[in-house]
Amino acid sequence: MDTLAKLNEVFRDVFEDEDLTVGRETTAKTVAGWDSVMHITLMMSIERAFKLRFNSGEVANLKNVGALADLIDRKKA
Amino acid sequence: MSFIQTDYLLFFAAVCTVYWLLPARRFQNGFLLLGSYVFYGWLNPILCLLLFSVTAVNYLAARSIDSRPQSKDLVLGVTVVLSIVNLCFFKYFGWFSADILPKILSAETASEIQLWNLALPLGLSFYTFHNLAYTIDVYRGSFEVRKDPLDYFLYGSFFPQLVAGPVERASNLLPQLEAPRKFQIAQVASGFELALWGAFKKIALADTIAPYVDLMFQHQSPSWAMVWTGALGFTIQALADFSGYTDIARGSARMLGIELMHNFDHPYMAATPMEFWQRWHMSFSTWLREYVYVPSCFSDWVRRWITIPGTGDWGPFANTSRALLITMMVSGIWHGSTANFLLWGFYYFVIGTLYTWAMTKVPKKMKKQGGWRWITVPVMFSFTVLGMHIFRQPSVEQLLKNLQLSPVDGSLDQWIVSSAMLGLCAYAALPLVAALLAERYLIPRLKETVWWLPVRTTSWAVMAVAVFSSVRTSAADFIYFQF
Repeated sequence: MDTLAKLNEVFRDVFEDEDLTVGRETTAKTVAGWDSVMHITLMMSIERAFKLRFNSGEVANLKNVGALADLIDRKKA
Repeated sequence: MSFIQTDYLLFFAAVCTVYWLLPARRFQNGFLLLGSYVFYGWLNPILCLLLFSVTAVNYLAARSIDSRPQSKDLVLGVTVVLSIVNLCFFKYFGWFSADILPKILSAETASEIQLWNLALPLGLSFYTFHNLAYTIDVYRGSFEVRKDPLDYFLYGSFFPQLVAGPVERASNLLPQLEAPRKFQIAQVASGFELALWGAFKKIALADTIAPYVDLMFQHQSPSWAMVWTGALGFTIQALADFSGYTDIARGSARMLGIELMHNFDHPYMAATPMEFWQRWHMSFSTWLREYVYVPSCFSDWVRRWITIPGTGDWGPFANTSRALLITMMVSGIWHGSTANFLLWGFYYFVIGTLYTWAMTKVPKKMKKQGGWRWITVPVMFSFTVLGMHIFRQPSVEQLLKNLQLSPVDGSLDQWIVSSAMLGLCAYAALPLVAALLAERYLIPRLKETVWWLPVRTTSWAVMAVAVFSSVRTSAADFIYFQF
């Protein structure tokens, strides 16, 4: 399963929405309920799913889901 | 200088007039910088040295982080430690000299040190956080370092937000200070309107109800009804006072062509503790979130040391709860050294964690139903009133006594006093509720009609009359000046 597809599963689980589909251009503005507090829960759930760790700067500086997927790929490489 | 003194009115009128007559941005910024130091040093000019030091340390630290990235961890660490030590020295000196020193030093030496009587300089914690935010952002690479000392020093000491926030971010304020600003009558009128509304909330509402709230909290053996109408009164007073201050700050800045951050977004309409903190003192809540909560979630140090040995990764819920505990305790300690503030911070950690857990058990469909907020908002408001009671009651012993009172107890006199307090609460809350309804339903419809101008100017007149008829000779300080 590629990074984006796995991310999509995490998003569906965190936002409790089985119909949610995220793409590289998806941002916090386009997903209902993706506020600053939910963002932290989301990032922690991603850490768990991908077995990696983010730092504070990485969590704060993401522009969209594409940037998040690229960051995950860099960390897993 | 306080916003509700006549001195401020005269000072601001003079500053605003000269400022808009100056021909270029750099002259305007230089004049605003001078004005900011006059404002801050009005009663005690020596405090300007402290303001200058805090600003200079952060300016130099950010320059150093930018020019020598190899030592940026050390520079940030030293800056954060210096800022915290400086803040704690002034903030807790009174408590330390009165409660701790007599236990570790001779009585004579301890009492000599107590005579220094160092009070917390006005706004120190606000401008410390405000300046520190810039240095941390430069360290993280999320904001570009600024080399022009004039613009940065104005950012560090801009008088409308200097003494009690909003705790600005460099990314919002600095670009505005670096851009040319032109006089626009609509912007000045809007700023005046906001500042007038703020003065109305502070003077006509908060200061009117404040003496009665004080009486309720000072009573040695209050009834249940007195305790909770007093707490309700303080809940309304705190919002009117602090959001009133913020509106004067934001209105003053807007009259100078600068837009400061929102600080309040109808916090008592929140449905959960998390939502409350997204609506109350937003500039400080987001500061805590960005610089305490997020690092507490993701810092290796916290993950390694603040954990139960052998449990490994706690998972998102436990990790965010741990970060919330750290954040709320920092917030509690920041508010003061007395036990009630620590208890207040812990209280918000407990209800925040319980709510977060409980919300995962509620089906999403139910949360989307129209009636959901009709239940959750009043419940959360009740928790807020309890939180305000903990915040306002300095004696934990009295707090515990109050929590054990029975609703059916109380003499006739106490019921009459409580009813009067409830009436005062209604008096102070009514304009706030009316403003909320007007903002949502009336103003958007009126704006495009011929009625807008007469309604707007009449509301100005009503507020001005209320402000000047409510002014007292000894106006109370803003509640948040003590922090």
